[in-house]
Amino acid sequence: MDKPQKHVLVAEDEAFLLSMIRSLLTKNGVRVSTARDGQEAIDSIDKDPPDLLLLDLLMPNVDGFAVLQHRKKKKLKFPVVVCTNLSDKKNIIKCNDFDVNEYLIKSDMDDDQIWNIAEKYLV
Amino acid sequence: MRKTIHSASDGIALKLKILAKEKEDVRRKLVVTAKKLRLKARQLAATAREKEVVRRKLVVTAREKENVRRKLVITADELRMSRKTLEKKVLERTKDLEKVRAKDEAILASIGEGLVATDKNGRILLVNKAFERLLGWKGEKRKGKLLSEVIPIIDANGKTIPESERAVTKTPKERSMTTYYKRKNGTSFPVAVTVAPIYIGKELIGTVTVFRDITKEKEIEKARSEFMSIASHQLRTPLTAIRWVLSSLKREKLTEEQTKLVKTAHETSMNMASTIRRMLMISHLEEDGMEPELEQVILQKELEKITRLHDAHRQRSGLELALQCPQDLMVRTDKQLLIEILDNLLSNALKYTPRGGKVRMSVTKEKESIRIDVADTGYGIPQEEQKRIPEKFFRASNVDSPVEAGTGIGLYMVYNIVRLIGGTISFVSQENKGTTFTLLFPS
Repeated sequence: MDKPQKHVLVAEDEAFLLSMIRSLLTKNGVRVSTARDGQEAIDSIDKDPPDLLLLDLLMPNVDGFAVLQHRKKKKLKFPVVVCTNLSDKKNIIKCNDFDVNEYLIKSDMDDDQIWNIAEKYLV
Repeated sequence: MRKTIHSASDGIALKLKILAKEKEDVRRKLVVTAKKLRLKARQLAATAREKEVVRRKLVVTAREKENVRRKLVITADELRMSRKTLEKKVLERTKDLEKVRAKDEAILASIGEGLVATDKNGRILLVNKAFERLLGWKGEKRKGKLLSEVIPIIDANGKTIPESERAVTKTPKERSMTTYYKRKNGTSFPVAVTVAPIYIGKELIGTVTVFRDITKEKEIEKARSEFMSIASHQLRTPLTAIRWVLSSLKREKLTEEQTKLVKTAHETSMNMASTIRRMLMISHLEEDGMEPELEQVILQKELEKITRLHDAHRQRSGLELALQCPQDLMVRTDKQLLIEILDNLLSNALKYTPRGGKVRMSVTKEKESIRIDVADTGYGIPQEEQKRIPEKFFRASNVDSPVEAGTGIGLYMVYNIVRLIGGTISFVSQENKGTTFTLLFPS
């Protein structure tokens, strides 16, 4: 391969959705790390910073905002695409304040549409 | 002797002459005196006459005086009477007024809303009990003070709202942002405020402000919106799984029959997702929290995106779609809301037009607004039902086809969003000829 393999971290508590995104990304030649909650995501970021983070907001124990807070505190610059089923304005505003690159509502997208968007941040 | 005698008689004659002369003198004198006396008598008579006249006059005057006195007595009596009546009446009227005042005060005191009247300079004239209870200020002590100094108005973040914005009368629906009144002790509560001017004739003499503590409403609203948020999340998560599986199945090699089933199922899941999105939007619209976010939108680009979303359904239904839009036409509006409007109008046009029909979406730039027409050659809306179009859950009677299940929330939402972006919407429709919706909104 000419270009180095890109690394995407997927933080998603719903196991089935997580597996679907993982297989979709893997199929497209991406190295995938997964996290089932915010803490796992933070640990993964510290150990192996990704080229892109696909982040759910509502997760048990530590939520997506804590992950965004961690990224901000560490001044990490990798892009973040939020994939959530929360569409409240206050969450969107909060994400904007954390310099999130995209805010996607999962149920309003097909799985491959997620890839189409993610792909833009992996060039 | 004779001489003597003669001389004697001469003397007598002389004496007689003298006597006669004296007599004559006396007579003359008497005549003069008599004349004088007569004159005097005449004068006296005249004086007596004058006196009589004066006396008579006096008598008349005395009579008149008596009359006047009598009249005065009567008038005085009358005056006393009327004074008594007046006093009685004043007393009665005062009692009435006091009653009315007491009633007014009781009414003012009894209303749950806080009330404060100010003069035209914004100084407090009067407050009611609820004002005192809600704010902790004693009204008597605050009289004459500036209302804006007595009650600072703050926003949700505790920032004071400037004077210029507080005089505006706004119902909670019109006011997009909740405002709070600060109490004497520094705490605050959310309020719904109505400020009305007081006019006497044409002269503005002050304002009356009525406000209500809406803490409870806010709590309910919050609970409602939290419920909507959680409920929609819980619906969306399993729906996401269904939709993604169907979308990935669509990419697999399937039999024709399977493809058809999967496609339909996939579209159904998409419709369900959009129903949830619309329900959430309506919930936001019906709260007071939604405000348009303006940004530069390239119309053609967005319209193409919208039409593309409907391509699959359109082709399957055998419909033609034409899009006319001036290239590079930019408009400053809320992109998401505009997409929502047009997506709904287009989706309806496609849904309610039979196979072989045409749908046209055209954009024209007018003076200070943008006009977008969405026209179809579809079933149309029956004349007698046309005025019910903006109602929630309304569905025209001629489109009850079970295949094209609609919810009747799309246009309700459209009408509300159009208002939100400062636009207007209208339509013309003829049954079995088609419908044209026309959206006008500021550019």
